[in-house]
Amino acid sequence: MLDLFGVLFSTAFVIFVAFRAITLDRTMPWFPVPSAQAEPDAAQQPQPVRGGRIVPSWRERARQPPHQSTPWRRGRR
Amino acid sequence: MIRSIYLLLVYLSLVGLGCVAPFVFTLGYIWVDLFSPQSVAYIILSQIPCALIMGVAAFGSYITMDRRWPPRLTASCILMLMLAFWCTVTLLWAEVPDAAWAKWNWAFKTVLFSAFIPFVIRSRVQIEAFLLVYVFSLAGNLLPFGLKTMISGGGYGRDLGLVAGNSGLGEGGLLATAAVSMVPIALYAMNHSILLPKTQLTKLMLIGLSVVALFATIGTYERTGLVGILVLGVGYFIKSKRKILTACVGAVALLGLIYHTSSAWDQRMDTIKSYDQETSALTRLLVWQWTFNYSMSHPLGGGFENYRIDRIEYPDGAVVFGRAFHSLYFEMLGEQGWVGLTIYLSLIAVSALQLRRAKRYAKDIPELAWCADLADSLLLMLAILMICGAFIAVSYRGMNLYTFAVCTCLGEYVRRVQQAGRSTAPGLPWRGQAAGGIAALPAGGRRPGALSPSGRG
Repeated sequence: MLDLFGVLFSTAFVIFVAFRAITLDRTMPWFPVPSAQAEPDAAQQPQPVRGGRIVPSWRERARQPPHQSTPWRRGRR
Repeated sequence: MIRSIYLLLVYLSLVGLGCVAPFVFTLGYIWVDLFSPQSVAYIILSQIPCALIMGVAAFGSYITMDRRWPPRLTASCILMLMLAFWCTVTLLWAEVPDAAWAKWNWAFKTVLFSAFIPFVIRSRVQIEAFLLVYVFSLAGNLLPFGLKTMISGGGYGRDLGLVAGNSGLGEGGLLATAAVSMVPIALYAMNHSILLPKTQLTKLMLIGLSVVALFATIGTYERTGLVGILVLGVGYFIKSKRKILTACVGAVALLGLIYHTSSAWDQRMDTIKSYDQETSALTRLLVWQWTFNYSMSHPLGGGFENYRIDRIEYPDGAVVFGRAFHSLYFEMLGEQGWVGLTIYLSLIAVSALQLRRAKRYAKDIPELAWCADLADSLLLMLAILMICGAFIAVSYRGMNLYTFAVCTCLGEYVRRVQQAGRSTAPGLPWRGQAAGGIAALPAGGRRPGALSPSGRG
C-alpha cells in the first residue's frame, strides 16, 4: 500500500509540475531586465527593416498573445 | 499489472507533453533515470529502452525546435565533455574490458546528458521544474522507505523502497545520500516555488516530504546517511540568522532521533568510532590504499570497474579480491587516473564557484532573491553529495552530475540577467519578476545591444 502511495504521489506531482511548467513557461518572460532597458524611449530606437518590411521589435512581439510568443515555436523559424 | 499500465500512461503523458514543449523530454529523462520506472513496472516499460527514447527525443526536439538563448560553452560543460571523452579513452587500456564497456554504456550517456541539460533548462520556470521533478522522482522511492521506517523501523540492507536489490536506489548508501540531498531543494521550493500552489498545504507537504526523507536516511542504517544529516544540520546552522533557535531545533531533532532509533541503529553508528576494527570500514581503508598505490603505478587509470582486480589483505592475514571502491574520489582515481580525478574535482570547484558568483550578484536584487536562495540550497546539496560521496562510489550517478548541470543552469541564468543589466545606469530599479510575476524580457525575446540568442530564432 505504501509502495502504491509512493508511486502515485511521485508520478502525480511529476505530471503536475511538467504541465504547470509548460503553461507558465509560455506566459512568463524568461529573464528580468532593469526598468531602464525594459521601457526605452521608442522614438530613439531605429526601426530594423528586413526585406522591405519593418521587423517588429521584441517589445511588440512580447505584446502578442502567449501562444504566438512561445519560444520553441518561434525557434523553428 | 495495473501499476505497469499506470506507469506506461505516465511515461506516455510525458512524451506527449514533450511534443508540446521540448524541455519536458529532459524532465522525462530525469524522471526515468531517478524514478526508474523500468525497474518498478513488471511489463512493457521494463522491456523498452525508456531512457534512450526520452534522451533521443530531448536531443532531437532541442535541435529542431528549441534552440533559443543557448548558454555559453561554460567551463562546467567543457569539463563534462572532457570527462565523457576521457572515460571513453580509458577503455583502451581497461583492466576488465567487458565490465568496463557495460559501465561505460550508462555512465557515458549520463555524463553527456548532463552536459546537455544547461542548453535546455534556461528560464526560471524550467530550472524550478527540473528541480521539482528531481525531488518528486526521488520521492517515489523515499516515501515508501521513510514511511515504513516510521511505522516499523528500518534495517541495514532491508528492501523497503520501490527498487529492490543492491543497485540504484535499492542500495542503502545511495538512497540515504539522495534522501538528505533533496531536503535543501524541498525547503527552497517551500519558500520560492512558482509552480506549486502557494498554500499552507503545499508547505506542509514539502516539510512532510523532508521529514520522511530524513526518516528514510535513518532507516537505511547507513553511516553515510548520518554524515549527510550532520552536513545538512551544519549547513542550516551556518545559513541561519537565528542560530540559537536553529541549535535548539537541531538539539530537539537529535533527541527525537536518539529516542526513535533502535539499539541496532546506535550500534551500527558506533562502528564509526572503531573504524580500524570494523570489517566494512577497514575494508574501505584498505581498498583506498590499494587504489592509491595502483594510481601511482597506473596514473592514467585502469578503466571502468578495475576494482575487480584488487587484492586486499587484512591485518589478520585474510585476503579478499574485487572489493568495490566505496568512494567516488577513489572510484575516479582508480578508474580514470589522476586525469579523471582532476576533471571531477574541477567540476566540483567550478560548480561551487558558479553558485557563489550567482549568489553574490543576486543577493542585492530583490527580484533575484530566489536565485540567491537557490544558490545557497544548491551549495548545501552539493556539499552533502560530495561529502557523502567520499563513502560511496557514485561518480557517474545522475544525482551528482545533474547537480553540476543545474548549478550551470542557475549560473547562466544570472549571467544573462547580469549582462542585460550591464548597460543600465547603476541605481535604476529593476522591473518585474515579483514572486511568480512578470519580468520585462519576453521569453526568448531579443534586445538590441544585449545578448543575442545564437539559435536560429
